Amino acid sequence: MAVKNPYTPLPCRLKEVIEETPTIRTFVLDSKPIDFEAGQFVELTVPGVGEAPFTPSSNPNDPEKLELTIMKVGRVTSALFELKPGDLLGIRGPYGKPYPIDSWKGKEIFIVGGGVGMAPLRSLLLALLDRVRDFKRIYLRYGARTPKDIVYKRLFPEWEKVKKLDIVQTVDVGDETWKGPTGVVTVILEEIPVNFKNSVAVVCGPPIMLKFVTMRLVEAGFAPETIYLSMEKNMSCGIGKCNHCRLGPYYVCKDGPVLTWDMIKDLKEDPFL
Amino acid sequence: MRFLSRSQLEQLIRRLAETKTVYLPYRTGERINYHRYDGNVDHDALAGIRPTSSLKNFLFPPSEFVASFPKEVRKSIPEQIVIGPKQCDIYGVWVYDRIFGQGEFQDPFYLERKKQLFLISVDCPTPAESCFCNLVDLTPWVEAGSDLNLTPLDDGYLIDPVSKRGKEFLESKGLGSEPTEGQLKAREESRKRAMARLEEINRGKRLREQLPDDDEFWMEKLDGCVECFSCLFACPTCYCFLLYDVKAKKGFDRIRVWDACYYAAYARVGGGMNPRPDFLSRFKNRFHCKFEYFKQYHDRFACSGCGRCLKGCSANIDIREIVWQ
Repeated sequence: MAVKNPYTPLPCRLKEVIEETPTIRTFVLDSKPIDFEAGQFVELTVPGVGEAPFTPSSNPNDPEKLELTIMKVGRVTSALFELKPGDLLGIRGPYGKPYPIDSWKGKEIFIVGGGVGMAPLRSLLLALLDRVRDFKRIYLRYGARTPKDIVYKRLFPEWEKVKKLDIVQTVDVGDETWKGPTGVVTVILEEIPVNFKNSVAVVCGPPIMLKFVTMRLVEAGFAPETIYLSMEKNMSCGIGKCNHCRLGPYYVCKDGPVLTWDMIKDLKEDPFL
Repeated sequence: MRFLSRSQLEQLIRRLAETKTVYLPYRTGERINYHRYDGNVDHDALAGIRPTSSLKNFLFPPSEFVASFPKEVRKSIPEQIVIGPKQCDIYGVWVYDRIFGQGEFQDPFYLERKKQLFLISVDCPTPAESCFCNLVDLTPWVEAGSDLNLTPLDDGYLIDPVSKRGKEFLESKGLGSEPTEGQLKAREESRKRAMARLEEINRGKRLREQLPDDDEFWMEKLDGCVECFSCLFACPTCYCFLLYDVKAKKGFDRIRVWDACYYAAYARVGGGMNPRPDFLSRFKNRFHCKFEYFKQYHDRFACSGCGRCLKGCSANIDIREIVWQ
């Protein structure tokens, strides 16, 4: 057949599994079977179980490895959590549109993450830090349920050292170790110290968080076309054919998975369901 | 263009069937269906309305093995000839070409099936009550999209080349005779009659400027639906599918099966969230998909007016009562 078969995954092996939280793990592949840009996603197969879409969490510029940070929620992710280093996986992609990082030159970048939504944002953050001079300033606002549920605990101290990066974290419910703010992520969005005329916001997290953060960002002054939202949808093919991920006129897999608020704010369907 | 008598067409089909698999419509009771050529040609069925199943089954079968892992799938798709599709089904292929045959990623199985499929379309001289191709700006005859086209006349058929390979086929065979003035006129009249019949069937139907928003309208329209989804599976333009994997000796096989947007789990994500949790929202989505979203990209509806969705509906839900008024 002349046309490449888009349904066939490439084989790859699991190198390491890092426990981030009780329900979230980072799966490190033993090589980089496919190249991607921050924001694009892959379809990962657990052989014999099935396939699901994930956005890598590692630096897209890293030539040697690909990492995926995944929460155990369904059939495929539960099977993934049973795997051990050396086990065989399938991967295809990359799919979807990357974050338009080049168009953000000279701007302030305001990143908001919730829970495992930090995974694609880590990939974005690492890509941004590789060219940090291009941006005026980078902000990261991150919320998790409890201190135990914070992903990348081992990496935050390192990121906090970066001068141009301003980080604030919150947890819904604190414990004796927690010194920071408590409350859902919008509590740390009361002050947004950016010049809205020269900024973009990037949000990834559970749908309910996405909804309230979007409302807050709009209220604060971000223009709808400057708010980039990761849309979680059921996806099967990943290549704009099977129709599962449809959101209004968009195929989230092909036109997304990141869509701007401008694209979806007037849809008949609730984009946050 | 050539004229073929009935026996000349029969002879042509017999010759084609010697080397290729030929499907054509046969009537059983009220229904017309494609079957493999059995030595007879059902002229009545050829001139009847579209068969119960569409070309979807030839190009995008209900289930297709599309990948195996870790070894790449190898399969050969046989050459087939289908005689009998009407414009409504040829239009379905046009829709599928847009989905499976275009864009950054193309479906090699669809493309290969299409390459191996030789289509001989037929005019639709006697549209039925369920037909409404005129409402979606189609004609009950084919001018593009097939390889050859037949126009049934009282004493035989006019045969026209439609595609390049159809033209080559016709030229190489030296079939039939030069059509007479009378035969050309008979075709013109037959087509005019078919169009007039469609206009009569769908008289007074006007396309709504916009699909209504209020739930009451939709609740009334979906009343009686038993969620059998035959409207979606029989539709020549519905293209939703699902990939699923089955364990094989080594690794797994991946199967592409038809899916339907009416299923409750269709859009549900891993964590359990569902953007269309109730049937009302799924019912509406089908119409938005066909009459708004597809049109935004391709400037036409993902509906060919074939009427299968209403013929197969046990609740008599008529798409014409929803999209038109």
